Amino acid sequence: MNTNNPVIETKSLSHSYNSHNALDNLDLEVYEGEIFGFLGHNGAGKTTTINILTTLMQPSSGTATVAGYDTVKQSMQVRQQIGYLPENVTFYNNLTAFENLSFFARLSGVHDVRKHIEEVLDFLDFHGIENKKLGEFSKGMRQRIGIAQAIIHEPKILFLDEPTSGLDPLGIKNLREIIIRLNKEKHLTIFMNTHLLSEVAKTCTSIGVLNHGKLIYKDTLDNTLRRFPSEVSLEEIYVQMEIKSAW
Amino acid sequence: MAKQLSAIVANELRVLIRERTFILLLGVFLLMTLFSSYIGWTTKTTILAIYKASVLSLQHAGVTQIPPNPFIGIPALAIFRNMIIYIFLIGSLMAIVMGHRAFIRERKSRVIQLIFSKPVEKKTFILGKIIGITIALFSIVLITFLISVISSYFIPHQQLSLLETEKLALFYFVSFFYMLIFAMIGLWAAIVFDTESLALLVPVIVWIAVTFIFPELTTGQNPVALLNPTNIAVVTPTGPFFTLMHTALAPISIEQQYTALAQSLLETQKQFQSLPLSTTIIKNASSVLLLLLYYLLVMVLSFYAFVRYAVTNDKIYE
Repeated sequence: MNTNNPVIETKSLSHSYNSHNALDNLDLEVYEGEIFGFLGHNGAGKTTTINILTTLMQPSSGTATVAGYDTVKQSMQVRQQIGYLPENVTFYNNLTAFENLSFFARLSGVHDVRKHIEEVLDFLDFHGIENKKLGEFSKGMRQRIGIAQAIIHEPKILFLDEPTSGLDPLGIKNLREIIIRLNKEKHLTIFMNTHLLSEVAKTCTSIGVLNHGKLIYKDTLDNTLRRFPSEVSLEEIYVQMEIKSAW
Repeated sequence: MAKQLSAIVANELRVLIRERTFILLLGVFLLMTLFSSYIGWTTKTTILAIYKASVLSLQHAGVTQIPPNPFIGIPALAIFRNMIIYIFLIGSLMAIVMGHRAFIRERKSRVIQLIFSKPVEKKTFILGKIIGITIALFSIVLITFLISVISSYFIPHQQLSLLETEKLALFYFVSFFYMLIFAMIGLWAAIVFDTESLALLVPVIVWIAVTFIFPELTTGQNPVALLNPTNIAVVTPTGPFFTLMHTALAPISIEQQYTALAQSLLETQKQFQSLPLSTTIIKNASSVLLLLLYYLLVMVLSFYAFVRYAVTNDKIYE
């Protein structure tokens, strides 16, 4: 259900840490209903971008809007509209799944907390774990709780930073299915940082490639595969882009 | 904001009560409170037994002038004087751990990033943390007070009068503020330092300085001896260094001001006995104000340190 409304838009977005330019005049548009895969090598600026878009960080210059709200001037409105799952978050291990979710739901202003938790866990097909402590959970189970806390307040846009990091193949497959269902059934726009090109090919509807803080490519996945007909996989296309960018 | 604040406070209490280090320190602290009464009770019964045996022995020997009962004139509150040491040594450390854990756990687990992806203001979060720590510490002190009062009923002829109960309550209230200062130092350090070990080490060094180094500088006395709550008012040594140090630092020494206040409330010295509560407070008004001032100072420091804290630029993640 892609539309022509950009729900994420950045204009000349730049950020530097001391003298290092992590982001360099990034102009990016992500449209409503897309599953956007943001690709790039380590240190390319993907996490910096997601930190700015989720209002956790302010850019050095340029602007970013999410769901029509400025990420600096209207950060609280942006946070109402988004869900976020950072990389390697471990939650409160001594609390149960219900207690963890209840805390994040209350922070998000959810009214009927129990009902929302039941609905979300039901959607994720995650039963019988409410009263178990998160310290007993596997990485895959934690990621599902991570997704649950991110969508409990019914946001419009979901940000995922390396969501498959550290997951086994079955965990990756389960997460992929969840992401696709969230997009199709809950109509969420999904912005996903990732290294795994195979996952992008199976999950995303559009991709962007970031190299040293610059956006070197952006298009739908279908167009990308058409544009590089001689390449057999997304990995090869990605390597081609990186090589061109280096030149 | 009120709902978010209550969620943060409730979560802080829920998480704290399940942390092993905290539970261990709390257990030791409560046990020592119980022991404080027990030690007071055994000391009293032993001395009374010896006194009675001595009286009988003296009477058999034909002595007519029997010395008075050593407990006559000793206030009932004196049996709790050991609590001053426990507050210094265990209560303050427990408070540091509470403050430290209150924020370091969110930093280490990166939960802090989740929290600030929700519509939560930084001020709401830190206020929730401060309120959570305050409620937890107040509850502990309240339990400690109740243990002391209840245990006093089991000590023969040592039941607390209404005035003594009020003084004991005020002693615990003052101790609560004293510990709260250390909890805020623990919280502040957990916000500003880049590593978990440094964030714990710095408040512990502050605690050592406040409890041992500072009092020694101002009195020239052995720090362990200074902890003894039965000490009569510490006499300043006659060297120019200690005279200068005492004059300059004693009025701002948190440990000495707390000791002075605690000793007068627990009537460890004769001149404090039977003083009305209001007189005790007025006589120690400067100590009360100093404790309050220190508390406000470290609380405001913690608050502003957190407002300046950069969620995404935390070196503790590395």
